[in-house]
Amino acid sequence: MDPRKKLTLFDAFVALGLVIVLAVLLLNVRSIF
Amino acid sequence: MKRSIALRLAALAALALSIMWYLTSGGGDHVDSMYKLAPQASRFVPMQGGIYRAVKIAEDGSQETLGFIASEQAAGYAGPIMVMVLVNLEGSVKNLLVVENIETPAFFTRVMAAEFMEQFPGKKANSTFALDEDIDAVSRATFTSRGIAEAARKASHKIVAQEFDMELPPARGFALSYEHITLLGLLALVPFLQRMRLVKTRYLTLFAGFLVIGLWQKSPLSLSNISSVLGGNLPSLADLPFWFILLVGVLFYVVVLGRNLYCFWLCPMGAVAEGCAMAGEYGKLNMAPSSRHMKKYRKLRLALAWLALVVGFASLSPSIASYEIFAPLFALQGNKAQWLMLPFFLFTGVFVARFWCRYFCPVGGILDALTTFRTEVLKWIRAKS
Repeated sequence: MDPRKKLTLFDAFVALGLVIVLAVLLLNVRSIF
Repeated sequence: MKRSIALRLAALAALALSIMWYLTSGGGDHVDSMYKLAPQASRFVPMQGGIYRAVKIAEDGSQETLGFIASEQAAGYAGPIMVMVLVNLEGSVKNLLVVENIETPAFFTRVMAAEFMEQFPGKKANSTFALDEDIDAVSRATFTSRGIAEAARKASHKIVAQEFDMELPPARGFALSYEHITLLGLLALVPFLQRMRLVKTRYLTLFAGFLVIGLWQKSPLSLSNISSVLGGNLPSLADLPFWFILLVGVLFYVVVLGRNLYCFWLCPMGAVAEGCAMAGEYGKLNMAPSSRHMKKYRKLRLALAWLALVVGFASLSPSIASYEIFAPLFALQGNKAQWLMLPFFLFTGVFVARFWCRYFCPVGGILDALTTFRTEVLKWIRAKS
């Protein structure tokens, strides 16, 4: 695999952070309906 | 290059459309709310100055006035709060209702869950409604409590002034409080230190920001402040909130000085993030992501801020745009996912310096984008002249 395409721990952090942030937004949206 | 400009314009257009949708959808005369406030009333007769008379029509056709209704708004934590008040013929508050608010849901639910609203009925309509004198605030939701009390005061006093022969307490004028003066001092100090190239002193100002803006006022700049201003909800001078002074000061840095001096000099969350990074450095845990990696996620925080704003305005509740970790960190408020967010970003912050700030913080994203935009505009103007 091209080393430049290799996923790192840093990518995993960003992905997990993104999931959590989107979950917060989703819960916020749900709270108004 | 052309494609990226088109993308930016499309994003801005979508944001502008959602804001317009928000601005044109609100309002109305809140008839439903009036029925909630006075369920026995048969109709509401509009009078002068936006006051309504709640009238009950008996079976024999006779009319009985139940009281007077008025709505007013005041600044809360994230924006204005509109409160509708019913004052009975004896001149006492009979009932009240929050009809519009854009508070962060966690704060608003906290106030509604407490017995805060039950303190108002029975009070004389010409009371001062002053927080901690007349009305007890809900702890850790002081801004929301103050906003509701102030809006209730304005509405009740409006009714008293027009319908009753009662004396009103003197109006409060604009007065700077300790927190305002401390903040103005900090805001003035930072550009001076930066100009003198005393860069190391930023650790001191960051710590001061952590204490004053974070721990004391619990009011770091957040996306809900920005959405409040974008939605046209400017606070009045008489109850100028702390966050508004902070926002104006930071925008002054960006527009006039051309620098984002908030993130690295004042932001309480930045101070916490740097603390985490220092711990990482001490334990030799830091991982320095390659510049290729940093570049890859460079636009993430701005994209998230955009998404949150568009969703907030389109759903007519700009406060839901707030997904920051400040609420759980400084005000100990938040939904479950926000509580998960806090340890996650503190933990990752140990490994990657300012992980939250660089890739997720919407305020940092917007401030940096504005600074870049200002530089580009100046360059363009210079090239033309």
